[in-house]
Amino acid sequence: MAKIWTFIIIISMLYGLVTFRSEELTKALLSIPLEALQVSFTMVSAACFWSGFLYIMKDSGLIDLIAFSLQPVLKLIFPKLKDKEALNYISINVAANLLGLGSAATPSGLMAMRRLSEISPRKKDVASDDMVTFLVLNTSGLTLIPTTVMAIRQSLGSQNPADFLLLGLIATSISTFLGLVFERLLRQVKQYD
Amino acid sequence: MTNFVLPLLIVVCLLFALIKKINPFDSFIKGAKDGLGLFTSIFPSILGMFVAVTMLKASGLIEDFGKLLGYLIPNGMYFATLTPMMIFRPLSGSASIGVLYNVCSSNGPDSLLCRTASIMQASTDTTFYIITLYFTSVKVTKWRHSLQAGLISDFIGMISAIILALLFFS
Repeated sequence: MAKIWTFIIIISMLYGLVTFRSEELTKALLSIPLEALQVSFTMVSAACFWSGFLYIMKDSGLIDLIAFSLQPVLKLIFPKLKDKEALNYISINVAANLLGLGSAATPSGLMAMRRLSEISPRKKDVASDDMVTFLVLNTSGLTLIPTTVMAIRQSLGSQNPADFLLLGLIATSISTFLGLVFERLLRQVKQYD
Repeated sequence: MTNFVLPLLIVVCLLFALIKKINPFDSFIKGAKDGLGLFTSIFPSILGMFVAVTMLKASGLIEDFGKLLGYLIPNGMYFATLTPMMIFRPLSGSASIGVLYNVCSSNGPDSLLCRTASIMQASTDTTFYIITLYFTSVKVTKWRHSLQAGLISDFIGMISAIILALLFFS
């Protein structure tokens, strides 16, 4: 990422200078700090707000209830995983992701990985099947409530910042489902190598 | 329809707290305080990524790329504006937020472009970051097909976002 970052800035600057856009470049440069601050403020205030409600869910046990009700689905996704502890961590992680609380999902995700590593049938430096499936579940961005995106659109004066929720849910369901399917296919293909 | 989701979620959340007889306000304050710590970690990376993302746009690179693309396919500008989103999304959360902000502020928060970018941001995740973080935490160095599967899923999410947005928002 560091290389891409440097590369993009240099290329953009040079391209802008060559095409006589130095005025736009300078204006944009000067606008960066304040805009970044505004976006960070928007994100942090939204995160505080939703993390407040997350704590209510955590303290009242609602998260555990959601996590518990996810377990039948997770058993379909992880047919060979019989370990209760790993399934618990995974379900809490998925529940937090669904509620759009990425930062809250990470701790349970790390615990899930640790447990999966303990019960892994493979060598310690090789990813197990369940680890790969779990990561696909995480990287496919399964989210019910994208809190950050809504906050940013709201801050820019959108008429209805939540209007994409349903389409987002459909898109993320498709990508998660097909991601898991492709993961299975790749697993089969790689076994013949 | 979608406007029912958030109010309903909060009502359910508070009702559950009442049934379980916990003090929801105390929990809320604890949680909100927890979120506050995010600022110091988020601001520097947002600021850094904004430099790259803003320059990409201000230099006219995206605009010219869109014009070039326009000769080849219809809606060249549309796809050119979304290209940085597709490239940055799996790499960095801060960068993709920067792109999203840029797209939404320069095209309007209710434009087709902003809505497409919103669906993209919501339906995918920072694949490279998550995989690196989770695997390093348990010292796994052989990732097998994780990255391919994760990126395929991201790609499908992006394509679905474009198709759905074009179908329902244009």
